[in-house]
Amino acid sequence: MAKEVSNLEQFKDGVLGNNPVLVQLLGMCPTLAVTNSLENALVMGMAATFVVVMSNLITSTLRNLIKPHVRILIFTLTIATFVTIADLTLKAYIFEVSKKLGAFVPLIIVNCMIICRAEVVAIKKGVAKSLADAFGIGIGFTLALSILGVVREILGSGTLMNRQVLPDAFLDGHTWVIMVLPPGAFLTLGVVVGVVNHVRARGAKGGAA
Amino acid sequence: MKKFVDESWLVLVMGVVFACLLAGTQTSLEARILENQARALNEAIAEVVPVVDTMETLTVDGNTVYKCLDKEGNLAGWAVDAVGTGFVDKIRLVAGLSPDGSRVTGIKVIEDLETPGLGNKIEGEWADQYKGLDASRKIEAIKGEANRDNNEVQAITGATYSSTYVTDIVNDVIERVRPMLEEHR
Amino acid sequence: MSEAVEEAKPAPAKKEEEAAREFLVSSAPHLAATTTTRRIMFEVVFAMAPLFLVAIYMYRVSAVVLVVCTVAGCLLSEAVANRIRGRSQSSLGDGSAVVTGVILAFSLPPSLHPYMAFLGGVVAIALAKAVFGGLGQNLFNPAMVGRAFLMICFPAAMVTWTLTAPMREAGVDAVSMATPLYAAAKNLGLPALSDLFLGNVGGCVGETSTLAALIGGLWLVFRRVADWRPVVGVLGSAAIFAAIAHLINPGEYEGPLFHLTSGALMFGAFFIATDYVGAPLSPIGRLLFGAGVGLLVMLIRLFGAYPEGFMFAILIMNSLTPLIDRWTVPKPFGGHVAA
Repeated sequence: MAKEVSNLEQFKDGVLGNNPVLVQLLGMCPTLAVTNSLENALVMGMAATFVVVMSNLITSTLRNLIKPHVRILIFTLTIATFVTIADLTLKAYIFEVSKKLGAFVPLIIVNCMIICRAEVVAIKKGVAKSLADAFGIGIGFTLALSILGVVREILGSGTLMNRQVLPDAFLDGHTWVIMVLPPGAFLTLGVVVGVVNHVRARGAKGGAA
Repeated sequence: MKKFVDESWLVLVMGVVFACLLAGTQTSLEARILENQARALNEAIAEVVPVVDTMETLTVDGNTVYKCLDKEGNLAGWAVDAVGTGFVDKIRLVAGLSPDGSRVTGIKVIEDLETPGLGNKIEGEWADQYKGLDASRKIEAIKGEANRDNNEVQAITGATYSSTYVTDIVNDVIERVRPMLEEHR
Repeated sequence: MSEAVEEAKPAPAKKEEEAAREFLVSSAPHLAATTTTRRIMFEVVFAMAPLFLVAIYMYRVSAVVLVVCTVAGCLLSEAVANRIRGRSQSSLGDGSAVVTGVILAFSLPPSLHPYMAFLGGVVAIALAKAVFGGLGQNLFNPAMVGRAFLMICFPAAMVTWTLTAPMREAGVDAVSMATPLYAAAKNLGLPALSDLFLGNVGGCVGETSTLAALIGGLWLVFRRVADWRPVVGVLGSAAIFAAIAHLINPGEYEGPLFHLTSGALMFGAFFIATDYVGAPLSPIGRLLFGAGVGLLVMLIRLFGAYPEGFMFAILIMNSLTPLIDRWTVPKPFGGHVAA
């Protein structure tokens, strides 16, 4: 990133080229833990997006005031505050989902994807670029979680957004229990990352030729 | 001193601002959150003691017991809050008892971390089996066809342990609370 | 048994498409062997014939359906993997995928839905073999990974056991039944040893008959396709631990004869524990590997939540293989040389 990139490129880079989950393999904890349904994945994705946007916004606004050796402290402070706000909001407005997400919403605090954006982008770049980056990363994160959520919910529960999509007779009445369990998360993530790498390798080859 | 202030004023200011922000959020949302939690409990109680209208909270032998009254103020039943060991983590449930304490009027699991797709079936229709069982005898979870006359419930296929743990929790809490209900009537 | 022979450097000079020469990787001296993967796999399939015959006798058409489905699943995912990696499809013909499929089918309950068996075959090759780079590269036994996947995926279907055909003809009145090991774990009535030996008991498709496993297995050992060490390791350590437990508490734990003849032990010792891939390289290491499997099987059977644990035992020991390899570095030919 030697050349200055446009805001749109910064945004697209977060969603696709540098997708936090599928390419950078950051934020694995929520990726594996809460993607057993699309609803959980979407809510987790949106909560994380909110936090990364607020964290980037504040860091970038104050970037000229932040002393280098206290910056991590300030990042953590900001992130923790907005995670708590997100957690309380979920508990107040979508209680059922927040119960399912359990400890994983507070755990957004330690999601390295978010502090990484503050360190790599927000502390150096202007507000507009930082926001573009935050939205890109946040939406990329939500997208990746949703892919896993869709696969795991359909195969594991036969439903999508809690609505039945696979008829009972299909699969002989047995859904793939493994998909709801942690091993299913690892397997699905492995396959999806494999496909992404395959496509990227192809793209790289095509580009070179 | 000047150096200290120079380097830390931002952290201090942000700390104060964020603290106010959090305090504001907490105060504005707290009522809703508490209401949500209470509603979850009330819904569970309504499920195990069908005609409940108002209730009193009692503590019996260390267990929270909700004495449920119907619209006319007559005793409608008892709802007992119970926590015990599950297959994965603690299971919390509400068990309903008939006014005279002789029958189980239902159970509802409100918190558990049992295996999704297997053990967590204890949250759903499976628990209906407990309705009407004899509260004076031990309930047993068995594999295969259950005989209700023997106070048996059919364990979930593939999740015998979760089923047994729920049954154990119900048995245990009923055994401890039932003899004490008389004095609270 | 031989899922595969470790693929050593393919001879660059004359590389026939059909039968590329492959060697066992071991310490010097290296003697060229004429065995090919294909021949070994053929021997294994041949040795499993008695088991298959018993399976057909016990479970009739459902045994055939399961074997066809798992093998089809294995071959399909092998073909797709070859295609994605841009390799030739020659590995389909070497028989290793077929062997994986048959072993998987034999370790499934007879009433399993054919689609689940097919899925197990696909997963066995795709997730346990292809992603590691194909034949000889896998860390874990593919058939057992496929079974583990099904076990977690369909826990209810994977522990539903049906009566054997001879039992039904004899007029046993039940739809499903407990396996001998489940009965032992729950102190229910046990079948006669003769039924266990012949295989007329509830259980997985191809695992119930001790006799058939012995015939096929001893043939493999006699033909030197299977190494005797893991077999002796598994059966010996399982027998010893069963005997110890039985001596300590005869009322609670069954004796070694019961344990040797029930469940997957005999079949697994000859056909699964002898897999070249995923087992240690040195002879003493393979003996240790077998002993570890036997010990774990008995631990799971006697104290675990599952009545049978051969699958987990193999997978756990697979993961310990690198460690065993480090402990048992073979001596170079001609004696020890200071490193």
